[in-house]
Amino acid sequence: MQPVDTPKPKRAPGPSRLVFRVQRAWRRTWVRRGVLIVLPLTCLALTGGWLAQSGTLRTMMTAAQDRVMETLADQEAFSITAFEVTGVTPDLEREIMEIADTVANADTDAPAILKIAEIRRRIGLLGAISAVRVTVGDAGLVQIAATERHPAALWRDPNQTLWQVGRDGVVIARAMTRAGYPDLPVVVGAGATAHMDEAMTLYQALAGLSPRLRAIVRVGMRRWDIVLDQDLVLMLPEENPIAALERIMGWHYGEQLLERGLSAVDLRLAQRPTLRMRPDATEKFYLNLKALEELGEET
Amino acid sequence: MTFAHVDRHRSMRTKLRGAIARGRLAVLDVGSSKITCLILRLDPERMATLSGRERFGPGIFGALEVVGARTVQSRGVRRGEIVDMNEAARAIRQALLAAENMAASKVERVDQVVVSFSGGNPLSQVTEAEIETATGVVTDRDISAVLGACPDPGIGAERAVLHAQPCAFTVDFTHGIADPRGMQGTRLACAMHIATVDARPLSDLVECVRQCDLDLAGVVSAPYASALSALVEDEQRAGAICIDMGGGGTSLSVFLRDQLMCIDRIRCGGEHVTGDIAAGLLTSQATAERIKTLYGGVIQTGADDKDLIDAPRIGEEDLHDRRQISRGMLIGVVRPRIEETIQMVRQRMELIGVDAMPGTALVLTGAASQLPGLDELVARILGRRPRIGKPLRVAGLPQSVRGPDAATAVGLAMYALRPHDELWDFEAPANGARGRAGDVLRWLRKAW
Repeated sequence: MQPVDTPKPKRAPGPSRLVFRVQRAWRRTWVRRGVLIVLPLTCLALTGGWLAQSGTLRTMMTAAQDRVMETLADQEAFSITAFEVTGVTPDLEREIMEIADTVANADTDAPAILKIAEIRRRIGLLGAISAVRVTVGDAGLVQIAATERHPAALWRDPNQTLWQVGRDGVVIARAMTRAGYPDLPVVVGAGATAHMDEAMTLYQALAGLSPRLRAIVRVGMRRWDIVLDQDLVLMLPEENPIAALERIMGWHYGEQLLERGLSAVDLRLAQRPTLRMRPDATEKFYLNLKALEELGEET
Repeated sequence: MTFAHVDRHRSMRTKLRGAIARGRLAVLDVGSSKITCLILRLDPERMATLSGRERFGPGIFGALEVVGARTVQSRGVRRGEIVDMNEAARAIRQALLAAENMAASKVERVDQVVVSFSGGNPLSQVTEAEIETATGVVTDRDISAVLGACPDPGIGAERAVLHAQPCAFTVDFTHGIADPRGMQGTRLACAMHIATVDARPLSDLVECVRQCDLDLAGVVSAPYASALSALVEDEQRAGAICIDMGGGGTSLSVFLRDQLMCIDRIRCGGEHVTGDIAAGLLTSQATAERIKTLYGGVIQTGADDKDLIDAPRIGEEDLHDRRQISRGMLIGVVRPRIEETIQMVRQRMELIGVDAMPGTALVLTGAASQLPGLDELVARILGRRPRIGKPLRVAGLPQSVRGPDAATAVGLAMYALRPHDELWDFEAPANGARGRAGDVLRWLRKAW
């Protein structure tokens, strides 16, 4: 028998009624699912809906962007005062300076760092430049280190205009005359620049014959013809043209094939190589044959 | 005979059937020294395939699985009756939550619970009735009629019925018929065993379970439940006495022909032994319980005088030079109380008239039956050798509830699955054709 006013012990073992009820409710699958899945999803959806509806988020984002822009514009280190171009010929340097000036003095309130990015982008678009590095030095001096792209060939486009082309197929600038670039091969035809490396490989494979080369022609945007002097055409297949050209070179070095008055060597089908002769060469061949018969020699 | 409690028992049966259909049920053994909670997973389809006698036997094994079990120290319970409602409810909640945590991955939460009740002066009474069959063949309606005709054996106003089972039918002077349906006969008699307890402690227990937000799906007398799990079906058929030696008291149940014949209780149990040790050896209750559990025994041997055990006096527990006693001394304290208990059991058995019943098995169960040498002592006093009964035939029992002390809890699980044949499982007796017309009229009035 304990007195009525005895304080109850603080922590009796065993759960209180509330704890018991909560734990037992948690045992129910639908309660667990509701609290763990439905409730968070609902909260998320409500919050998202409220933000989208009130437009608070958008205002906040615009404000944040403005703040960043202001901060950047205020930076002393990013102001542009002068340019310095290195690594290119004077002509190109002038062109680059022109671009840089245009961008830097453009009538916008864009921060300096964006202007520099724009300068870098525009210089990169120049065909004569293969790589460019723009850095900001002390006192607003913008240093532009560019690498020039050298022409590897001339390209005569379908409009008969002549262009300088880099090894990677990028058009550099217009070429006024063929005679201005005697050591570059000529590539002809639409789509030729897209396969410039193949054309260059063919050119190298020609080796000793390169003085006789007139043009490397892209036919039908799919295969190559090599045109030599005296209108001699080496017709190469679509697949593996290098091997075909090497085969022709082999015949040439063995039996002087390309000096026998041919008009075409057709290797488009590898299993059926065809030679076409010029009419005068045919005539000469028969005359030779007749002379030999008169001599009474065996053919 | 109609009891005030039949309706309540009927509603509890409905809940039990619902729980079995859902496949999950909790059982709760509320004892004086411990509360055990088991969470059961049932397989209703498999149970439906079992029929007749199979449901008493090993066929039940796969249909029932224990998925959660927990034993906690009992608080607020004395001699099987609740003396502090809040404390007891708290202990029940603790046991239930822990068992449910263990079962969390296997079953959803359980709401229906079957509880045991061991207090309230259980008393067995027998009532008999005889009627003439309506058609000359015994039908279900005759059985309902004979059960309804059983007179009140003098239960008393303050008593409540726990079990009311028809234990034997007589058809035309043929005794001992288990199921008389379909038999030819003009006279049908029935003897019904009624187990009653004090109503007030029982309603305390019901209220306590209600406070735990649980649906009560049945209240079972503790000795009946422990006999269900400790006795094998052969013993139940051929006759057996199950002695459940618990903490607050020792209870007794008698089985014959698959039927419970009698229950009784002696207010003398393991806690009294602990009290004797504490008083006789001047130790605290906790120390007494500890040395009883670790070193207790009832048969003394020569070696026991040499074994010295720590038995610190009160206040001496934390000192280095504790008092030590010999195990023989401990046995000398324990034995008289055990002897007294068994003598009291013997007296009750004589009173019931089962002491001379030939061929009856004697099964000891309950936590106190784990005392070493107890079976020897019981054999000397009662004249027949007992078996220590451990719970049988249930799958998934963890090691902690496999001992004789869990017999009641496992028995509750067996009870939930057994075919039920209590008074309230039979239909209420219909009052002939006129009564049926009255039913139709009543239904019409209610429906429109």
